[in-house]
Amino acid sequence: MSNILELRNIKMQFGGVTAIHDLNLNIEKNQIVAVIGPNGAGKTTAFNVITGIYTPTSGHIRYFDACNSDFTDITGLRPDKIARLGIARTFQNIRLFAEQSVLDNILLGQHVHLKSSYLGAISYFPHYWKEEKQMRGYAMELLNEIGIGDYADADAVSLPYGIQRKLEIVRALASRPKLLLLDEPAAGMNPQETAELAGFIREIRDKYEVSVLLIEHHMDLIMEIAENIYVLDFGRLIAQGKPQEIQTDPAVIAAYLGAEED
Amino acid sequence: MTDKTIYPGLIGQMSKKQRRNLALTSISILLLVAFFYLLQNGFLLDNYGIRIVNLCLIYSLVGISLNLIQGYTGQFSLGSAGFMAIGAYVTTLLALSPEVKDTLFYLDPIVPWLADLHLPFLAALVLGGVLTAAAAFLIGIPVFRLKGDYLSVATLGFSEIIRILFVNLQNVTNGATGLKNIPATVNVWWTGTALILAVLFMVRLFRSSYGRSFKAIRNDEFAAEAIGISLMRHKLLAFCTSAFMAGIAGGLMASVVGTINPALFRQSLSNDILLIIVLGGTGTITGSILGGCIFIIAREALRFLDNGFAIGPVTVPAIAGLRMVFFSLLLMIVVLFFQKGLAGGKEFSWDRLIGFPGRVRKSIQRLLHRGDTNE
Repeated sequence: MSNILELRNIKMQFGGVTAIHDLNLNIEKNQIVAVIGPNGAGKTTAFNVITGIYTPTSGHIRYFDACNSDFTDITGLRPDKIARLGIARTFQNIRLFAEQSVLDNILLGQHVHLKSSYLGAISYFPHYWKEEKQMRGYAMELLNEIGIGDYADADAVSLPYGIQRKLEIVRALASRPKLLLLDEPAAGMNPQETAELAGFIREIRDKYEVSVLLIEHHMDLIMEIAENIYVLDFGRLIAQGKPQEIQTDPAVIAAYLGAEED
Repeated sequence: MTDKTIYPGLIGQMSKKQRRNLALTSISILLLVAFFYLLQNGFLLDNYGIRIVNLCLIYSLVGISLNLIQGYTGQFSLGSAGFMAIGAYVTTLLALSPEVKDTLFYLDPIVPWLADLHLPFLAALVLGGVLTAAAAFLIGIPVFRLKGDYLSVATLGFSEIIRILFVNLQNVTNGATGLKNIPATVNVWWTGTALILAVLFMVRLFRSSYGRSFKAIRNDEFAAEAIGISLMRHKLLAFCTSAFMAGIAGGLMASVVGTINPALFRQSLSNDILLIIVLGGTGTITGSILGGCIFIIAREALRFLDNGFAIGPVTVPAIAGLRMVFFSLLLMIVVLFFQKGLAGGKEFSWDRLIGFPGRVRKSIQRLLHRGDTNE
């Protein structure tokens, strides 16, 4: 299998604090990869480095760009340019556009592919209306997928919490990404919702052919869907492997439960 | 529900309600045209009244312009006066005939390349708007690289720089003396058309993907960038569009007022525009127009406050600027009790207007009902 994303020797320092030491990480095409670790391990920092919010202190990030079927170096690119290349993300604390409708949120996810010019879109140019119609069609398709097609006109914040989480994932999907980064998608969900989410993530991976990188604390979710797991602790990669391997890895157990003192 | 934007303008595809609204809109535009006609021909108001209407329309236009960048896109700008100044000076200098320019620049002759430049008023006006947008572009590029509210500081400074520049560029702007005898080309048709075009523009903009992106930037810049919206590009688009409108408004105002000088475009003008949008409601077109009209009419109606007046036995001496105290009070009341502005943060629509009596009845019933349960 070929990789879609490669992190090479990524180091991220904030002043004197090193949040990530020398991280190497690979994501294969159509794979679901999880990053786990105790609080403050540097998981979200890794996400922010990949999506361009932070520029790493050293190291490189390579992304397989399907458009010219070759790897591009995306280290330190602006977030919107990285999104344009096909990397979409969600946030730990949901960041929907609160004052806009559910439908608008999904349409905004597609803005990145808009071809019409500013003035073309504002004038009555038929080209734009064709695009708008297409965007709306796809948005409704996505909304129906998560069963909230009827709430398209409601304010995004009026939805129940679990649905808001899903809506944020679908907004990311609307930009037709090749790689989807989910930052604690199951945060605040009950076991039943979590189980449902696991199915949903696998479903979108298969249907939309995206690779998924997720940060999660719900171990049952991770063990169920992750095909490869990276474990971070204090910014260092302490283990990597299949779920079964991780479960029995002494370093991981030590990091989560505390090492036994001799 | 979601198919309400099938290709717009196809009457055959419209619902009954949409057709009714289209009919109402058409009728009100006709009424507006009739109103402008009567006004222009002096059937309704005298010249002073017509001037007030013109100013209402112009200030509404600047209100819309500031709302676009501040209310919709969330970028705090304090540069309305500077942009209006550029629009006013460019339009005037291009529209004045060479002979008039000759007589005006008696202290220091005008620079030769400008002396003979003479354009029809419409061309001068549009060029004024374009150059204003260009100025906004130049400020925007460095400012929008920074995250945070630097735009307000930058535009505040820009506005002052423009004014001082205009005071000192004696042989281009005629300095502090300003420009006089500006052709009174602009009438209600001009200001009315400009405002209607601006409203149409805004409506179309906020039904398009670009308008949605502007709002997304106001809502959550971080998330907007993460889904691929280029902050720099979209903020620049909004800012330049806003400046273009302010420039046009400045050009129109120059012609309505007849005389311009740098003192007209002090910081207090920007503050007035800010007052207009806070009064009417940020983020609505209805609010901008409501605010613009209330501000201009109140400013004229309260003129007596500045000239001294008597309440029964008490005589208040003439205090210049007492009117502004009233506006401060009004602003406080609005901020305390109508946070969303006088327009209530909602856009005017026929559905809302027709539903209004029903809503009033309902809220009265609710009030009465609450009285029942309390007893």
